[in-house]
Amino acid sequence: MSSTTDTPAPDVSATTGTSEARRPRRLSMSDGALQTLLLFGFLVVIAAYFTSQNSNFLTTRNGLNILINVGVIGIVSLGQLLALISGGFDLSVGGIVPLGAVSFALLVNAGYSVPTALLVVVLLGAASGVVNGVLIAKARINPLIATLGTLSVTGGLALTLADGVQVPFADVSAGVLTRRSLFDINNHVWIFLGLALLMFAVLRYTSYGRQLYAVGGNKQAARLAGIRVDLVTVSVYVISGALAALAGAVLASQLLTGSGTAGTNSGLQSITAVILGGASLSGGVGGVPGTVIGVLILGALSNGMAILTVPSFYQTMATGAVLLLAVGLSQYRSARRSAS
Amino acid sequence: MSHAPRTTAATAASLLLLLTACGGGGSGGSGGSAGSGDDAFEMTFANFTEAAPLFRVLHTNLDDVLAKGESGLDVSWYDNAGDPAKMTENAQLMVQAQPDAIVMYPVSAASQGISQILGDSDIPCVSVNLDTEACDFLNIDNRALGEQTAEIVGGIAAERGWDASNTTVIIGQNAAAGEQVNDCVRYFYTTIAPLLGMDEVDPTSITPTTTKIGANAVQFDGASTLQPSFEAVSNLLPSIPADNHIVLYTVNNDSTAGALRALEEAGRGGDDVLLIGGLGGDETGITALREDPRWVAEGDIFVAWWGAYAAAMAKAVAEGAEPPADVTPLPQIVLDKDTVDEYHAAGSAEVSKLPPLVEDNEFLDESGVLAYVRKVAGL
Repeated sequence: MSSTTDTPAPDVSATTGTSEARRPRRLSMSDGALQTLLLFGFLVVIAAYFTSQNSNFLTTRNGLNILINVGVIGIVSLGQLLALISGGFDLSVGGIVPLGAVSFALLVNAGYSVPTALLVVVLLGAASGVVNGVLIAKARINPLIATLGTLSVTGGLALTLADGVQVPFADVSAGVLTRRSLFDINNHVWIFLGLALLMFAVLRYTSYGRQLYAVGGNKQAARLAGIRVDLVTVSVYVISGALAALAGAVLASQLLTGSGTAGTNSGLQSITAVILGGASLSGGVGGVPGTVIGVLILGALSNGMAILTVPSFYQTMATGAVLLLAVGLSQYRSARRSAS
Repeated sequence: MSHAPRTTAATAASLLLLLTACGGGGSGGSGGSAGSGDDAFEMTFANFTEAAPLFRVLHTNLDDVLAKGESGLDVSWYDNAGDPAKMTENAQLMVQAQPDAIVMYPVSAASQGISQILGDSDIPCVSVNLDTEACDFLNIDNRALGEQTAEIVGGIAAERGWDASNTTVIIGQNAAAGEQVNDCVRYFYTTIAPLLGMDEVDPTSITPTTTKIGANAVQFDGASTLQPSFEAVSNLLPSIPADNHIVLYTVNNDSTAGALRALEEAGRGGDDVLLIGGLGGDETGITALREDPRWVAEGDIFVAWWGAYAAAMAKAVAEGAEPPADVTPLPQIVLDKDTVDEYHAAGSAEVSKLPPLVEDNEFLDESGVLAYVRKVAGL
């Protein structure tokens, strides 16, 4: 099996012992590596531009600032990456993040320890993911409709649990998830980086990773090759839901408050980051390095525009433009793959 | 194929069951409050949103008060959900319900559409916080709040020797909320600037797209919520000189709390470097005003009682009272650490006293609603 930096090539035969299934599309190693390098180059260009405009951009403190701000959306994006690789996407994270935030705040305020509260919150997110996965894999409901539905349910549940008000931590020490630790870097940044490494390894070196790319590349072929497509699909949404709930707990720790309205944009932001990072809306493509860089690009843009005091309306337009750019790139890559 | 009708029937039955179970919880006219028989005064009330604490309390507080006795009011609630389309739909539904009076809390300053709907109905209506041409207007004075808060905060800052050479003013607007709401922050700056020797600017020059004001102030858009304010301020901080003192004021305490978290996270929230003026009079603000040395003023707008004032005004207008042509004032006062206990019960954020009615809102007593509310609430 050849490997690429950003788009591990699915090799169904290696997973299933058969080569009868149509081989999913494959990018050469240089293509994937080049893509990631180009993306990194784009990040460097952005950083260079903002630095040229304001010397405060390229400082250690501001770099950490960007990492702190992208930590939450980064965790969500890792789950979203799996959904996109599998050929779907998960809009429900926009409801699961606030649900996780509110649930976490309520649990720690009720006297549960942070690890227990975190476990419950992650299980809650995973349960939401099970619903998504079953609706998509078994009931054959389009991911757009299925996750839009659970977005409304989980978002509404978050507001209901919070009774429409903010839920401040009774004990601020419960904000341990975002406290600074090793190298004066916040815990949630380490959590994000650790999860990214773990997911990179899973996607690149395990049969589950290969199966996921195979399912996203061609479901029918994957099924014929003996892959349990439904199980893989459900697992993707379970992981995405669990990570979104974890991100919600992190967000609550960051704000020291659970809010039913916080993190509601995470669906769009995470999809933007993942597609910008090289994933395709048609599935089967994408990787962790690209996603991490995609998240950093969004964070750097937001941070840089704030430092340059760009009005918020223009910042919104710029974010939309990045999404369009990302989708355009995705389409271009798809067209190139088809042509080759 | 033969299963299709049964499946359809089962689906329809399930939906019906679900709708029945959720009855009254949607945006369209959720249950009446304290109805008191056939001769009750029927009122429809569209809240800005039921999802944000700042607005939800209008509903819950009025419900709590009216539930305690025979108020003579029967209020049906609608949720504008912060969405102009939903607001328009609610305006139509409320007119269709033919109440004795309508209260609308618009979600957008662009209220011409609902103004036409409400105006055509000839049902007396009251618009809260944002003006709707066809309705009488009930609002706080955002400009006065900003100016009075600036005088307190600016006075303390000046006493400490803070000035243009060592201080940055951070103000947080809600760009999408319209000009009236943001009056508080722009007039805050124009009032504090001369006190601290900062660049003086025309208030009208501070717009939703303004980000830098003179050499010493920055404006961010926190959308009146926690997380966007946290992100906006944490991104802004690198451009603010590291040893500058900071004065923080935003359009509400959710936004201030988010900004404050960002300042603390960056190590710039120390007692000796930060002064805060709050706005809202909610638990966050009142608790902080009592306990947090950095939080030195709080614009108390008694939001929880807006529902009662709006209901009183709607009933008074329906019964023939003549409100001021421009605006009927809501209760408000800017508190400092010495006056906070005059208006809030010791140790809690519970309102113990409301500011007295003034000439322009004295007519609210005519409806009897306000007197009832004050009596039941023990104010």
